[in-house]
Amino acid sequence: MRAETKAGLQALSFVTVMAASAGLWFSLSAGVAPWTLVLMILIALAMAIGVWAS
Amino acid sequence: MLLDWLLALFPILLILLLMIRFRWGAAKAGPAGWFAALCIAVVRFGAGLEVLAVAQAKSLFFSLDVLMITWAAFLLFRVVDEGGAIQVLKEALFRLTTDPGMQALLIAWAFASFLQGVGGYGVPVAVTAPIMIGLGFSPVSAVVLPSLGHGWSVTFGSLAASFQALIAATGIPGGTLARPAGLLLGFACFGCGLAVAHATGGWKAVRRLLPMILLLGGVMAIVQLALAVSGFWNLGATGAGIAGLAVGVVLARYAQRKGARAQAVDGKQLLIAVAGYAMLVLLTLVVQLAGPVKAALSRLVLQAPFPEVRTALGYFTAAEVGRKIPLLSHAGAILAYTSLLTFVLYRRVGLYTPGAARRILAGTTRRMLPSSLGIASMVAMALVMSHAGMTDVLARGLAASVGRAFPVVSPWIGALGAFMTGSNTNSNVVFALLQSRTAELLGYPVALILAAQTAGAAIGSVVAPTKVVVGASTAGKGGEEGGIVGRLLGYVGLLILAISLVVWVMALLSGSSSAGGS
Repeated sequence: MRAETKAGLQALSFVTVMAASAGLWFSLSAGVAPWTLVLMILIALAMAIGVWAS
Repeated sequence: MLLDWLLALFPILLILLLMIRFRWGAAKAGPAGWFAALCIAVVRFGAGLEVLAVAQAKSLFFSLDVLMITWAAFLLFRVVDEGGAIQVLKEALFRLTTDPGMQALLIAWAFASFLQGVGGYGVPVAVTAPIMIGLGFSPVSAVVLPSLGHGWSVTFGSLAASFQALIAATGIPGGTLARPAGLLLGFACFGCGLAVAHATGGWKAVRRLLPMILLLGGVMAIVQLALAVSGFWNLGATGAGIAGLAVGVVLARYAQRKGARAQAVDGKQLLIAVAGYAMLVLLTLVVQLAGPVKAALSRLVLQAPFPEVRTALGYFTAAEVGRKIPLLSHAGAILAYTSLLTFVLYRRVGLYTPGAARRILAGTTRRMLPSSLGIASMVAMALVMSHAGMTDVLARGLAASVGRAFPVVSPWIGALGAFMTGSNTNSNVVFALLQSRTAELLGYPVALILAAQTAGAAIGSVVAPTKVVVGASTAGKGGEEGGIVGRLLGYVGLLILAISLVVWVMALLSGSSSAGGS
């Protein structure tokens, strides 16, 4: 994998984890919603991408 | 129940296994530990979606608190290094003394501690190892000496990122933790100086350099402690390093008069080189001490309330207001202001070549991005474990098994965490809650046990494979990490043992004093 691609995927992974965590924070005010699960899955996927790119 | 205890321990063991046996970095091992914690929390500890969501959302604030400092600290280092200032500092120290013992103490102890204060993340060894080789030390010694020398300054180094992580992970005010942490690390400072002298020339060197070690160690330990208890913990290691260098330079010059004459150092060049760090000290003092400035910058705060959550097994986490991050007066923000001002100054005096800004930003991003995902995932893992009751199960098991010997074991837990994750910060994030909960259960002072955690982690981090790899590669000894770790292990083991004994005595004293007072 090219260094630029690797760095790009790591950046995407990190930003997605942080943004989805922020999304969870907003979602908590409305209690557990269907998209709470979607956000948790998104975080897991983003972390998996980060592991793959590292 | 043993099975619950083992399952609660599994995510930590998994990270340990992946990092040590399979040589995974924090960016790979952290998410794996997080995923394992998540699965175990759901399947065995009854954590529902709301528990996991609250833990994950809280981790955002905890991570931001640490990452703002780590990114900005490395940015400042890149701004200064790109202008050639680190090279100037290197040369100035190179010319100061010809005595190998003095060189080792000045460069591998005082200068490496200063670099830990302002940079961290492997910078002390990476910068000083080539200087040591240039001075005639063997490549292995060039890695071993600064590794040992900077250990005591890790917690309050990197603008106190590890100490900030300890505060963030436990919610205990820095003012409460600063004194015991400063005392234990001050004690470790002498141990690091002795270790550097011994590794340089055996007991003969220790005896010859003992007055210098006592004087320099005393100055650095007191300055760090004083800064930490005054609330300036983000300048603790930096201030101690500067004070140590100042005293060390005077002592080296005095000693040099008796021997060969040292080469002169360009004062103006040196002044410009240290301007960035001098500006950091100045800005920190202004923001902390000037009331109106502090008030104006503290208006923009990031903070959020979180609801109470309960697992299916009944483990309860109360509603709370999450971590408070004052965005404009945060240590990370002060570092960012300093980086910007230093960049402008260095550009005005013509220290940069075209494209410097791009190189600085690219270098910072390249270096910090992988460790950021590692930190974010490990913080999330620690919070999932604590919200699911896994940390509580671990703490209760630990309290039952080691009992009254816990203060002696506590620094070793911190060291284990740092060894496995390569970082004092990560160790504090992973183990601080476990340590504080266990201390509460056993009735030991929580602040002392957390100080033991971070002191053990600081010393343990120097022998972490991930750090040793960085040092070995800069010394051109990639592939010989095993030999370096072998030389470091004995010293590190003795230092942590000494810290354990001090913690044990302090715990006994605090126990008897509280018993007397009640």
